[in-house]
Amino acid sequence: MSFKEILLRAKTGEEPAVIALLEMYKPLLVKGAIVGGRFDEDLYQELCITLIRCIKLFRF
Amino acid sequence: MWQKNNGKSESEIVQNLFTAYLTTAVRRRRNDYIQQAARLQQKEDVTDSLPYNQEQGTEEDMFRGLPLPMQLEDSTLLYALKGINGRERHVFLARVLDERSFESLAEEMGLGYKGVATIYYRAIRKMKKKMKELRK
Repeated sequence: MSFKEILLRAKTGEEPAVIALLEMYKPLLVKGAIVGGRFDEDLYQELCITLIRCIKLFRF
Repeated sequence: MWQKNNGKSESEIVQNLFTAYLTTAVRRRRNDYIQQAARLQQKEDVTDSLPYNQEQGTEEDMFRGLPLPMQLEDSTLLYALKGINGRERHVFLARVLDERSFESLAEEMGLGYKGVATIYYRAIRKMKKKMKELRK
């Protein structure tokens, strides 16, 4: 399955596709959630929400 | 499972676009979050650094935070305040508590100086009457 397909599926709200994207971008989110050398759990959650919002809002 | 993205096929281009989009969103959310946390920290610091004064009871502080009707000890006054209408109450309280002038009130309410003065004195007259009523 290509990335585009996964993204389109995630856009329609298919849970496995959303989870696949979350897994794929986890390193990026974890990296973003590190503040002052410490992993911030709350920020990580916020960034997960940001990813889900991005999936919804992204147009191509 | 994932191959190197050369940005050649359509799907790869979409992936690159999405990653860029997400990176920006994540960066902004992160900055917002850090700013928020800093602001919160500041507020916490302010209250923490305030010396706790034991001589002054906290009861009084709590009392001051209550809405006006609950601060009034004199129930006669409360009764009188309830007896006048909203506009009269506004003028009366602004004049007495906030020490506003008739001029500024007149400007705010779109009335003349005399109009506001009339409302004020009418309110006082009404309140006096109400209070007398209650004392009897």
